[in-house]
Amino acid sequence: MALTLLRFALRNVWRNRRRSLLTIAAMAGGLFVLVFLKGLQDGYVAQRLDRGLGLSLGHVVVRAAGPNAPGIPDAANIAKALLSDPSIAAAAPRVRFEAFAQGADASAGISVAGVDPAAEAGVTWISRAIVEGTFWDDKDVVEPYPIVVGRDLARRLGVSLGGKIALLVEGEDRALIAEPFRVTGIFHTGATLYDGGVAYVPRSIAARMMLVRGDATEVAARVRDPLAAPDVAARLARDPRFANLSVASWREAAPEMQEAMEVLRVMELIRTGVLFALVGLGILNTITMSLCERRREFGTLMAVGMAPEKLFTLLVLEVAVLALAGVLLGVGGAFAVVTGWLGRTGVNVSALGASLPGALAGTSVIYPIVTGENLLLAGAWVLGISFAVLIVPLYRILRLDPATALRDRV
Amino acid sequence: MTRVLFAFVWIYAAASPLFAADAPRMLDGAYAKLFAKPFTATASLAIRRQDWSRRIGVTVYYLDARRALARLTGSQRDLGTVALRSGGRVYLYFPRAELLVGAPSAGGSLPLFGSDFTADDLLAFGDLAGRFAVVSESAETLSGVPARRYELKPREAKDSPYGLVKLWLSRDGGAPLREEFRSPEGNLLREIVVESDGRLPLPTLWRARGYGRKGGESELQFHSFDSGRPLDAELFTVAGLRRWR
Repeated sequence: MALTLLRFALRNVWRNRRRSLLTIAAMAGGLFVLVFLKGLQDGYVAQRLDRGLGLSLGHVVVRAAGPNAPGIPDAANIAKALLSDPSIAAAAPRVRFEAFAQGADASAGISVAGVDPAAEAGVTWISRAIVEGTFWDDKDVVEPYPIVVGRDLARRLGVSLGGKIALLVEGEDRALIAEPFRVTGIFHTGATLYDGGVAYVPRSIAARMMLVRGDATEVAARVRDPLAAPDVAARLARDPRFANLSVASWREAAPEMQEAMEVLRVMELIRTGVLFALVGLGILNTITMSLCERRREFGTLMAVGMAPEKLFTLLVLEVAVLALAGVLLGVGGAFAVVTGWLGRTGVNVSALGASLPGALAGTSVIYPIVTGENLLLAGAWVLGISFAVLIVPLYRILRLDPATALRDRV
Repeated sequence: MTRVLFAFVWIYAAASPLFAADAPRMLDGAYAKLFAKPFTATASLAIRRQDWSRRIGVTVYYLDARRALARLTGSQRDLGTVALRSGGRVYLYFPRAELLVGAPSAGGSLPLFGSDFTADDLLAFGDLAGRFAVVSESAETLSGVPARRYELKPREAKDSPYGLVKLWLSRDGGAPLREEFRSPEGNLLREIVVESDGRLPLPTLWRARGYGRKGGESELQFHSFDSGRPLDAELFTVAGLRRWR
């Protein structure tokens, strides 16, 4: 009997192709929009974490605990301990400080990172942003010491490749220390603040200038899955090898980014709610119209003796067929377009008048990300809403008086 | 960095020499003679903090009450750094980086070479009357030594971190014995205790203690004193600083 009803349902769906295709298109279109927007946001978040944090901070940062303990003793061992965790892809010790830079033409307050170029390349992508010169080799670390600066900063200070910069800092001992540097590399990330206010110097020189206790002020790590960084940091914080140290994920170390993520999450909730409501209304409209158009047909079926529960099953099967077709089309289309096409080419939001070099560290192209979980969730939602909107029309159909329905001219 | 920039935005407030004439003669006897002619003195400066210490060499070149400089020796990290006090301004010259930083006279109250001393402690001691006005003077015995106690107010109060400075000078010869620097709220910021073993014309041991967040103890031990060598006035100018390379 069920098979017969399924055959009837398929025949009914196929009978009015235009109406059925419209219903399927409404479902598939709504689902596509849901998946695309969610993918765009996930892509933006992932890029922000990867490019933004991957440019400066890193995903997990280990620092000395307490305000009076500015240095990390034996940073190399801490880096090794970090790398022993399978979630950590790379780790790099650094000495960070603020300095006053004097160039040929002008001076400026800047942020300086004392780094080991090879280790830093595993954690950040700054080495790939070099547009002139290079990072230094060990043999280059002689006075005047090598320095790599942002393109805008170099212009502001009036220096070019090979030019001299003096850095003045207040060391941990409160002594003012100035060291001479020569520009060996110039980078351009596209992030205005970074290009105009950051410089890299050899870590050993930075540690000596600052008189850091230990050999680094922090050890930064890149986590394979940036979104898992808070869990990784919490796990590492319990590790006795990091006792007396502070282990923070980007959530604690870059609270402004965490706030931005929270805003995005709330916006996503609101937007998804509105979208789901719109998609639901669209499906409700098509199904209600379709059922209203078929009042005489239902009256006839009831008049010839079709039991109400069979009619109920028939209509549920019809909607199931439509919804399944809509979901398959929507999921397939979204996967093909968002992952297969836009996932590779990206969505250039600058074409829409938006410019995001600061947020995405030098690019305005967002690469959407679609996960299987998101596809399943969106499909389940469209299926659920398709059946949910059936309740009222079905109730009215089942209470239909066959004689009245047969007189309908619709 | 904040402190570095702070030094640059301090409003210029050079001490006016006109006031000096009105002030009581705080330095007299041997000390008036000492600061009356140029001298060179070498010292070792030990800086102690909670969990580390550092020792550097310092040479002080004194030309007159308004011009003196101190130069660092014996430190790989900041070798040759020069602090000059001239014409009411303070300059720091970093010869390796060829960097010259100038600050108004108030910059003389900032830590010298990371110690608990300031540039004014060493380079402007002879200009006490130019920098401070005496608000009270009394006789006192300090650790068994007859002394005169002065309470001093900065002449340019708005540019000074101090609200009150207490100075004890020996009644016999005018040698400094002790200094206390208090904030406008009356909190003790720093104190300097001076001892002399009579080997040199100036006190041989200066101990400073800072009570700020990064404060600690610093000790300046003078080894030699030479007042017979002429000093070129050009070396005490901004242009002449570069000759210290």
